[in-house]
Amino acid sequence: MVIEHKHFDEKIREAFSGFESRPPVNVWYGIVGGMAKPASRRLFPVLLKIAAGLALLVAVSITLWYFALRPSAQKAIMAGIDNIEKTFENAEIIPAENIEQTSETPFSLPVEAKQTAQSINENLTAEERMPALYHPIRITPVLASLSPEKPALISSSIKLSQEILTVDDQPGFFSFLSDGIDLSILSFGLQAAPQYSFRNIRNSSEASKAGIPFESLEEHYFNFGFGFYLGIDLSERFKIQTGLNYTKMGQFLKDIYSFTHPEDIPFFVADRNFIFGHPQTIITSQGSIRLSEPSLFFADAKSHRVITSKQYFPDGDPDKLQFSDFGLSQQFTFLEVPLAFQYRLYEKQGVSLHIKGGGGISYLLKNEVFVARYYHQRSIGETYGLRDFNFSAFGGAVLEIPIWRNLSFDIEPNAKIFLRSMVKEVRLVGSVLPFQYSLLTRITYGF
Amino acid sequence: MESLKKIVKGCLKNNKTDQYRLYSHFSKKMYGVCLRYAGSYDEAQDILQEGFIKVFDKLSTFKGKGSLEGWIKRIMIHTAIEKYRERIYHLTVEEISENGGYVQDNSGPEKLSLEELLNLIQLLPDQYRLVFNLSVLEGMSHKEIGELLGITESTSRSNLSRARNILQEWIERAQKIVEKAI
Repeated sequence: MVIEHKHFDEKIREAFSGFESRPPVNVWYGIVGGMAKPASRRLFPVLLKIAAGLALLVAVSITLWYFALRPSAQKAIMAGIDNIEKTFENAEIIPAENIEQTSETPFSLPVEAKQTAQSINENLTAEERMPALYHPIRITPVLASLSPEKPALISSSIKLSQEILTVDDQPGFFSFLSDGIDLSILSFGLQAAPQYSFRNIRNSSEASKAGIPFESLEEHYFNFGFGFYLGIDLSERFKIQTGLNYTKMGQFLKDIYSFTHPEDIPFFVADRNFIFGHPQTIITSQGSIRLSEPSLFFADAKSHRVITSKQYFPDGDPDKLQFSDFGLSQQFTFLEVPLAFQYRLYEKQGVSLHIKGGGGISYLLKNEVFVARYYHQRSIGETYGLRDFNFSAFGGAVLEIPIWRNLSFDIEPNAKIFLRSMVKEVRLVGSVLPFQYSLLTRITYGF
Repeated sequence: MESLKKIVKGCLKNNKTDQYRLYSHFSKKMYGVCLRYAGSYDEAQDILQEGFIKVFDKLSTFKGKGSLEGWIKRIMIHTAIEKYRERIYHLTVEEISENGGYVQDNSGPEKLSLEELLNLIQLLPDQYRLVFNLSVLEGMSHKEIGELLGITESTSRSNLSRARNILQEWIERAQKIVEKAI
């Protein structure tokens, strides 16, 4: 029986040794489609980048905030030290109940002072020890208590406070967050802006190499952006601004007609890498568009921006194609972290006029193409070869109008230009720099 | 061999042309493997597709120990087993018992070819087919098969024995029909 089985197994093995079979061609398309699918994987780095951007924003804000505060805080501390040193020689130990609890200090005293304080405190019972010893350290009360009338009181209470304030206990970098420092230098706001965007073809002779008159075939783009604002007063007149903006740029491509086929014949072809795709590509001054909508076929009325794959032979009669829409919209959505300096030129009755300028980092969140100006509809393709990050410079004016209590209404006409072209490779058209004009309106809350 | 290394390097850089070259190089052999493990041609295509997606996804983990072909083949076999598990999970008890009545006279009047033999293997109940393939064609022990499929060694032995008997019976029947026809 076993020998029989062995014989049978051997026969089967022989039969299948080197067995091969050609799989149908659709398997490869399935593999390509399957590999392109995991959008969730791509989403993670995007979210990570957004989180990193926010973290950077917070870090920059805190750093600026800290340094904006530091000079005045240091000055105050130095003044305090001077006063304390002057009064220290006359210091007297006074009963705990007579000591003001406002006598906390963030800086250390000489070692002798600490030792004195320790020896005093050792002689006190737990009940006698001053509550001030265990209070958080504050700058403002110290300055308030440094009055010439009560030098001994101040110095002695400081000595006792130092008993628990070792060098390690000194306020750290972030201590100002909990120390109740004056927040009046900060302002937050929410903003929205109608935006006009287009591009500047830096070298039109390079553009003409492509033989396509982009200047006359493309139009500006109009959209809205919105964002979050953080302002920090550096001085009476200077302010630094940052925030996070969601903004859209792009352009409208004129004279491109889209058609549909009455029999719903899909326009699809496999390229040399065996990837299924639309047989047409559209060249623009800001990159080339890969189409993804199989029900639409395109034609250029004025130039030769629409390139159709040579291998493509449309099924059905091309004469049956029906005109659908006119033009295409190329839209780029960015998340932007700006950093600007603002200088106050004029102020009267609370209304102030400023000028501002700065730069920003933009991350390309979305890249879409729409038929006509139908931004609300599904995207029908995307521009390829775009940079993920870009840098911009901007400038403008700010009109601040107080509206109620700490709220103000700001109007900012701005102009912004990208410092690098949208596409990574600029061989075809040369350097094309997108720009944007916006009229930003904002509600700001000043602390 | 050198060119295969080049292709693999290209695949690691996500080069679509090299991915297609790698697929072309191994697809026929691997499809043969998938056909043996699958219950139908459609299922074999699914296994091949999913298997190659995994191959491209995990190619960076292939450290060159053993042959690339063997590595890809293992991925295909594991994909086939995963498919089988998914199917078992989705089958109701009734469906499983219906499939248990596996004896079908599928032999045709043509001479018994490799394709005919393949069809007969594909007609085996899923678990019998897997055990038969893993044992007879891959040379795995019952212990290994048991661990891979989550069954006991004795179940693996009995599945193999049943698979052999059924196949032998079907082959005999098919051969008789072919002889009569000749």
